[in-house]
Amino acid sequence: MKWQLPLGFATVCVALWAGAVEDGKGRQKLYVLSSHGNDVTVVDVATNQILKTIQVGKDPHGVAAPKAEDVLWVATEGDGGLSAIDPVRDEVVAQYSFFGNRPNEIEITSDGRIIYVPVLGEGVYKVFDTVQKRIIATIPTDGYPHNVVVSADDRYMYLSPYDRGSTSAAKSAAQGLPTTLNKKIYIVDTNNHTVAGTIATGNTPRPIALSKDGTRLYVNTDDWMGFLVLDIPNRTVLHRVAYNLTPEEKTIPSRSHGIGVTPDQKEVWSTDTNHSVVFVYKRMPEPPEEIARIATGKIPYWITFTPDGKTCYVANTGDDTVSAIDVATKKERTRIFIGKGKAPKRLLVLSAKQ
Amino acid sequence: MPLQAVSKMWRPAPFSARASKLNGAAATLQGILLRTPAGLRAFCLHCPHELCFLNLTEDERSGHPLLVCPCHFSTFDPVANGARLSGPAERGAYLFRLEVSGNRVHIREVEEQAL
Repeated sequence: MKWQLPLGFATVCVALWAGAVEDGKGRQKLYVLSSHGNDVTVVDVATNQILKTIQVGKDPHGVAAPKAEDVLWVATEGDGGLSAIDPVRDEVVAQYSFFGNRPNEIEITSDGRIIYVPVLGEGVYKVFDTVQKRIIATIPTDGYPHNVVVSADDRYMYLSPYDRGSTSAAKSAAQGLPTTLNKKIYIVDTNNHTVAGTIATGNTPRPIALSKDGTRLYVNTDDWMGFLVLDIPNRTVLHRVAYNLTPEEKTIPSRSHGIGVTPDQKEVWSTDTNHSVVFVYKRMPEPPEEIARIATGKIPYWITFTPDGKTCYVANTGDDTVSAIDVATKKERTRIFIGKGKAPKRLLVLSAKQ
Repeated sequence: MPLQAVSKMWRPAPFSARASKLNGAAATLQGILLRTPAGLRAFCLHCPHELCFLNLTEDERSGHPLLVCPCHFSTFDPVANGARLSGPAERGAYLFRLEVSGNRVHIREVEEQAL
């Protein structure tokens, strides 16, 4: 289908674009990590067209950026690396290769100084100082260190290690992996990088998302189709929210493996892998209430939002696509093919200065 | 399922199978019927690692398609009864028992562990 723009509309577009650049923000770009590959795909948010791919290292698994959005950090699980990308030129500008056996999803303080790197194969979170360019602390946990999010004020990091599940301890040990199980979230004080407390989750935690006010942590877990609502001040599980599955869906084994809070803090979005659905919940009043279910590509995993909250991107690892969903209408706008066999998982949107 | 559906080598014939768990609960399992050089095989598509759906993917090195999990990349060989080739799965792909009767293929029991 071809589109013809009336002249007046084109003029308005130019004016809006100029305004965006004056604000210090430029073109919004989506960065999609190929979990089974060695690159990051850059997508233009305005058009949902692929701009380029950036070679970073083997099996990219973690992505984070500071508030200034002047650098994008990517952890590569297959080679123990951490790459810094200039998001204007979309080129790697620095690489560090001393993170060890399988770095996973990373998190960064808003000033960009500190990065927490979960190192799955070693059972620790390593704390990387981006100015000193060295690891300044190591935090041991149970299970397989995997995910982490930071509070808006940078005071706490919330660690979410998963574990070997039904794999035997002997087999995990034979693979050089941790053998302990984990069914809790760790709360770490970033002043001294020590554990300030834990919250028991019953099941093994997976992806997590934190409310901006720092009072609620939303947690996908193994063996639960839905998510938990954690009360951070009281360090308890407040609600166990179950997806409203059809009778047919209930018979098909699946997992919840991707969760996010919309930038306006009004909604929680959470994926259901084998039913290829993302569920949307109104966050308040509690418990969260389901307000929509949206079909996605095959095996939806991680999700992220544009900073303006207008678009939700869902990585569909089963068919190598990313769903671009309109947050207001809850309709899928388009599906972006990332590349055969790339298995997109983690993803993030930045607004690079031009 | 008509035998004609798998007359061509490696052309997958997808199906859904109803089963009962040991506790009596109903389960629906996704599967594919394949004609391989080793004969007809019916594989459950739920990965033994973390239940993601396996994809049948061309593989240049082995010279024939493999079952690959898109979540954590466990790989299984359909020619060798779904034996695990690599990845975090602890075992091979789950198999359905099948019977050929006349011009039809009947999907029977699935390995108990799949449930």
